[in-house]
Amino acid sequence: MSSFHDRHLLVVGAGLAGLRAVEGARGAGWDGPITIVGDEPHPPYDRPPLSKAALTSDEEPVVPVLRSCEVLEDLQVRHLPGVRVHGLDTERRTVTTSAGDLGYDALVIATGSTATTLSGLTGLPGVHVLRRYDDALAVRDSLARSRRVVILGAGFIGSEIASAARARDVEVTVVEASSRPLKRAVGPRAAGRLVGLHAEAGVRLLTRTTVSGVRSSDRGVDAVELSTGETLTADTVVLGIGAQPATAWLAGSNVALDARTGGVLCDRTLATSAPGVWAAGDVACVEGERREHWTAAGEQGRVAGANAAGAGEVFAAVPFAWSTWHGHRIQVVGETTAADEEERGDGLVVYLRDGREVGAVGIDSPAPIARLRRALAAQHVTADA
Amino acid sequence: MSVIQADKTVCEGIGMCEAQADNYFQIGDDGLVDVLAAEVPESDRGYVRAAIDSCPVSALRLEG
Repeated sequence: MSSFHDRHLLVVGAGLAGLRAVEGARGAGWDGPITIVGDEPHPPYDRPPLSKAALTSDEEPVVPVLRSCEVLEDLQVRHLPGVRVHGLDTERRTVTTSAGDLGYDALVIATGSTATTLSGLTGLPGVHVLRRYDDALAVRDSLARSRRVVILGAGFIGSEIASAARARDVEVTVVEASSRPLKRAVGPRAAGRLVGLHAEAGVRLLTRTTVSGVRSSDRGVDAVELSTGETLTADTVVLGIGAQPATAWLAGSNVALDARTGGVLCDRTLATSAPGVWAAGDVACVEGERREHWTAAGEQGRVAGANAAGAGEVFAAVPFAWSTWHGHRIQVVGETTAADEEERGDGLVVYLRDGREVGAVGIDSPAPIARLRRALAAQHVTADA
Repeated sequence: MSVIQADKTVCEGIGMCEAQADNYFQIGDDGLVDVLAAEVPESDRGYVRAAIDSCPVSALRLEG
């Protein structure tokens, strides 16, 4: 029998969820070797700044690393950068990679997601997605040379890019396929207020509109043709139309995927259908839901890592997300879609179920949001007890 | 003994610190972090460090 301290924890994916999995495992007493594999050349870094400071700051951007070299050394984790994963054999407990086979005793899947693209647009100079650090550099560079930008998708990423573009005095049109932006994130009244921020900042928003064609020259994209018949001149086009869980490498493995979301099926302990395999972050579908937020990715990572080390924890964090649009601080806490929606003063929209506050959207309203988040977290603890 | 330093000019009131160590951090009525106890004994250092490292805008430091 191999002694406990020889056991190898393999974490696939070097983003926030992967890094927190390493920390969660160490925190729960895992004393064997840990390897974290990422397909990018950078050390584990943070994604929120990519669509915020990295686009707007006048300073030359640097990789927003999650932990210093010293902290990574203390964690005694081996980081393999630039390594792509190709397959998983749960019987042999082996992951096939571009750097050879890697065995494991416990595995955390934290491969995140891949930005959705549109055929006909991808690969054209001036057309971007924003998911990785290198994407952020390309968008930043492109915005700096642009006069007109078209953004596809009025969700959080699209809105943050619109905000960065306006800060650079670039003309912005956001093209949204649905009749109402942010449908998956917030109720109609909060969405109305959020969309209002774009109008105030001079962003043109077109709903119920899709792209029907694109015009380009040697230099790259020139214009975008819309379903309405209108043609928009553009020197930059950015797609913010969602992201798909990065699960191609799991094809043929025993790790079950959720049919609806495509994410890795997990219970609240972040355990997958395969023994010795956990999942966390954007790739994970926990009890039918993919929560693609920074706070969820971090907490799921920590719980998955701790449970890989035998802790027996459950993921039960209060949903929380934040964003900054045109200088306004936006915060979303708790349940903000299906519940009754009530507009309050001070930039607050509250969500109620049976008269009880279950969530809120705040625009420049951090104090009430912090109070509600505190109350909801206390209820979560009580409900779990 | 380590000491918590908070930079309120950088803080965005996201509250990751409070979510992880609410006996040391709270988002106040101004929407920014209040440090409830600046001095951290060795016994609490681990989880306070984790709370500080989790700040997405790097508004917190642990010195000493």
